[in-house]
Amino acid sequence: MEFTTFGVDDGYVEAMARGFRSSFLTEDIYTNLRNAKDITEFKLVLEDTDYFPYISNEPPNIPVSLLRAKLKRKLADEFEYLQAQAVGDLAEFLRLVSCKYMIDNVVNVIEGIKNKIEPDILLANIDPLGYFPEIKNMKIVDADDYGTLYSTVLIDTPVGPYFMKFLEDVIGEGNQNISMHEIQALFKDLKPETIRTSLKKMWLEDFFAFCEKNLSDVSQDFMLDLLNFEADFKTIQIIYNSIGNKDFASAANRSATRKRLCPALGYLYPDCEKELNKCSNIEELREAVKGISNYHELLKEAPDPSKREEFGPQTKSLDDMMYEEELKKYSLAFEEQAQYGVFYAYLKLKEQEIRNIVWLAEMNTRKLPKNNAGWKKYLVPFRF
Amino acid sequence: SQTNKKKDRHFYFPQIMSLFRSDRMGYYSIVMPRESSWEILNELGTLDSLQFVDLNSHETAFNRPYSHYVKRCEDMEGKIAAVELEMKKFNKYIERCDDPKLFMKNLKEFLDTRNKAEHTYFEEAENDLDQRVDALNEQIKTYDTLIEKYNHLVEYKQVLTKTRSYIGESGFKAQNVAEGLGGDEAPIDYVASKDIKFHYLAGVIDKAESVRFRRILFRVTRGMTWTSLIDIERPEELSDDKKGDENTLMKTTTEEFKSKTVFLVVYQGGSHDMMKAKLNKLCDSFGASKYGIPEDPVQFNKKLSEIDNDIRQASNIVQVTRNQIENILDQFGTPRGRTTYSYIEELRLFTLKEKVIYHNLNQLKLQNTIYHGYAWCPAEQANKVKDTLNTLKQVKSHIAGVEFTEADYKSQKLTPPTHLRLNDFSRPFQEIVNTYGVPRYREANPGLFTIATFPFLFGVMFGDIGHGALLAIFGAYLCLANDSIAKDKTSLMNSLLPARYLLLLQGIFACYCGFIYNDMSSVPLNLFGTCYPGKNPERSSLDCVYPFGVDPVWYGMENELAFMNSLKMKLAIILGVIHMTFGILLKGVNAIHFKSCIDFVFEFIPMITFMSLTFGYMVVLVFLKWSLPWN
Repeated sequence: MEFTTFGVDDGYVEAMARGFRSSFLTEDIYTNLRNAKDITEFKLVLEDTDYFPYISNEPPNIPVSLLRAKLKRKLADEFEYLQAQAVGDLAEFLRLVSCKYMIDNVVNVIEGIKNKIEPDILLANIDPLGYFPEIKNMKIVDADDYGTLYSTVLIDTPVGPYFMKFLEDVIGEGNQNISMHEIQALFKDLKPETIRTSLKKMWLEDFFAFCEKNLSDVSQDFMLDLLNFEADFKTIQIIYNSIGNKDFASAANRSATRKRLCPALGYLYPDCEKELNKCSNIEELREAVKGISNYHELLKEAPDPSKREEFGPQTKSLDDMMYEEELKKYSLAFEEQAQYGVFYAYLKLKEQEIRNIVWLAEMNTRKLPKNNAGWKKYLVPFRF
Repeated sequence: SQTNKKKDRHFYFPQIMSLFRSDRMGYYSIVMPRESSWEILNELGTLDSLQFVDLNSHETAFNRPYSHYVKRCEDMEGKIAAVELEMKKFNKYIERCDDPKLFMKNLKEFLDTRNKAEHTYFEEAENDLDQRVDALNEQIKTYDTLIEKYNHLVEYKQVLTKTRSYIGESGFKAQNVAEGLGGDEAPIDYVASKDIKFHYLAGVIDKAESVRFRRILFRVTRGMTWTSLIDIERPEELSDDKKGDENTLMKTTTEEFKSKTVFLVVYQGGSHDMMKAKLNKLCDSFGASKYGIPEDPVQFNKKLSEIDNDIRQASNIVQVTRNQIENILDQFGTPRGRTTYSYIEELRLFTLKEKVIYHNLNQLKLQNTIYHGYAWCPAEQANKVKDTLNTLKQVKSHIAGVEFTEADYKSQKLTPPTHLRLNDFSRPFQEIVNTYGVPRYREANPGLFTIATFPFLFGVMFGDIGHGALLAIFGAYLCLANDSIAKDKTSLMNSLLPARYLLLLQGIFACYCGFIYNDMSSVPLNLFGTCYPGKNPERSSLDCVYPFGVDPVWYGMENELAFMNSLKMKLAIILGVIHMTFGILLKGVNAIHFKSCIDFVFEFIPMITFMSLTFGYMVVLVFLKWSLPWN
């Protein structure tokens, strides 16, 4: 049924997204990038691809940060085009997707203001996918004054509702009548990472609710599966990070934080919640996730977080494993027609490609020997 | 001499049947020393006879010997395109060159006057272009900075003039502000107290940001300020009487023109340090520029006249810089020497030529100091190539050791390319055939027959005297006015010119078929006297037959459609079957030409048999049925 009516509103946008698919880099190009002698040749290989108009005007020895900015700019332009052409549910869908990047930007700016980084550098480093006009005005507020930040700048932005909920959570955690000073103290203690995780959790739950309510069955099949997987991995990530972390020495503190930060969705929720909260080392974590699909095998490879000091550039971190697993799912999204998953998958796969290119560019500039394991550390989309 | 005669006869036929079969191609090997390779390719390029085989196809684009020359050519092309863009921005006209042969002739004359090796001109041209482009870019940068300064001054003036009404003629005093605010605009309950001091902040902000600005300002200051936003008019919005005196904002070469708004923020004294800092931070974050307004009215007028002076000066400097830019661009626009096209056009064609030469050089194989290459060349033009090489050797004696000998391609199992000599008339028909597939080497070329069959089949389908005649007239107009339309670059007919003969033929055939169907815009013509005259049609005489076409009496009859449809369908089938049979016959001709017995016996014979026994038989039946009387 979807096939007959999907094209009415969303046909053009889907066609554009599938057209963008052909601009992905293939294995051959990755091989050429690996074999490039220096950054000039690296850039020449890239100029042969779809990225040509964005990097052709730059000098041959382009710095990696500028390269990354240009690649992201191309992705942002394409995404903006899709957003501009979308109507109805799809427009809302894409808007919610871009909210996630806005959250990232907001937290980065907050962190930057806290660390007294120059506002110009801050603005140059924001993700263009999550650009909103008010982001320029964030610097007028002091770093810790989240209340004012919300009420003056963020209130009109899409990030606003999430921020408001977050503030309510933070303030409402104690008693009812706490003074202004205590609120300030609370804010001072807040680490930007915590803000980021909380905001992302709220966003994920919101997005999930939207997908459940508004999307067609076909879209839901894909999106809900994906969001559940993402939520699961967020949970695992949080537990993983809190293992062996000296901030969370006491079990009670640990479980409280975990409960607050873990999203209320995913295949692991609510069945495995209790066991996950009790985990204190990696073995217990592996046991706790045993029930769900192939999480056990995935975590088998994961390095032990209590031995964090032994990590090097070639160890496969949990992030890498998650990317690999997700990559398979995203690549499969393009096989199904008439569903919104293609847009989400396209965005994520393109981001993975940019990560690959930037990683290889870094390896290139550092002139590491070619037998270094880091050279193979990229994941090619659509290989599956 | 016996063998020579045979050879000549060999080359005689292709010249006559040139469109029926593609030209006979020869495979030649070229050997030349490295130093003279550029010169030789330069000469050979003008002949338009050779296609080099890429011997270095296994190499990547970077590893080829002349790849950095090609990159330099591409850089030059980029710069030329940038200059053409600037010329368009400043409305400079570029005279284009349509005739490559004229360009080559002029170039040759120019290079002869130089008394230096021809291939060194590339570097000279490159350096010259670089210098000019650098100068141009510098001027444009200065121009942009000056325009920004000028805009700054104009904005300042706008701020002063537009806030004057709020300030009042007697100056910016708390009292007057409050009084000015009086009436229905009073946002605060003004208490006439001398202790309250008002402070203000004035400046200019983008119009698109002004609403957000007002909102965030309200929130940051908790509503303790009063803001006024006044738009600055764009140049086209000014009423005619004001156009002369008002200075308007100018556009830089790079940015789009943004509308601006003047803002005036008034806030109370007291804790004004904190408020001022907050407001300053806010303005910075919006990228708004702030301007100070003098409080004293005398100072105010003085400032105003100062700014007027500055504006006049600034606009003069801007004009001077603009003139310099236009000078540089004019240099690019004027033709050099006796050429009729702009210098920039000459540079563009020259760069293109160099790129082609280096691209072809990239395809040759280098062994020590000798370049070795293989090329395809139409057999008739081989002598022309040999002669050109000989004259080149005589004229420029330092070029030695060029060999151009025939090589064998059959042993390497290469297929020669298909080369058809087309002109303006045959080209569109060949293009149509090529969309189905380019004919193989020396195969019968359907393009020759398409010249007649394509417009004819179009005519059969179109079949209208009136509209066919219109189409024919339009086609005739395009053919006759070809030169004048081609000269006018902006004409809409330009894109139709390549197909003018096609349209003309289609129109003629459509008109002809219209006569056969006797259909003039769906009304028949009675040219020869109908055979069934009168209100109740009775045949005038027993053997009366309408001489040409369908009898006009059919129009409006009950059984008109039954007859016409049947007639047109049968005509279509007959024509189609004849056409298809002809195609099969061409296949037989091909089989004979390529001396392929298998093709002839196992493909051609069965095809023609099936075709004639089924559709051919049907056509015979149709004719039989037509010719037999029904009663």
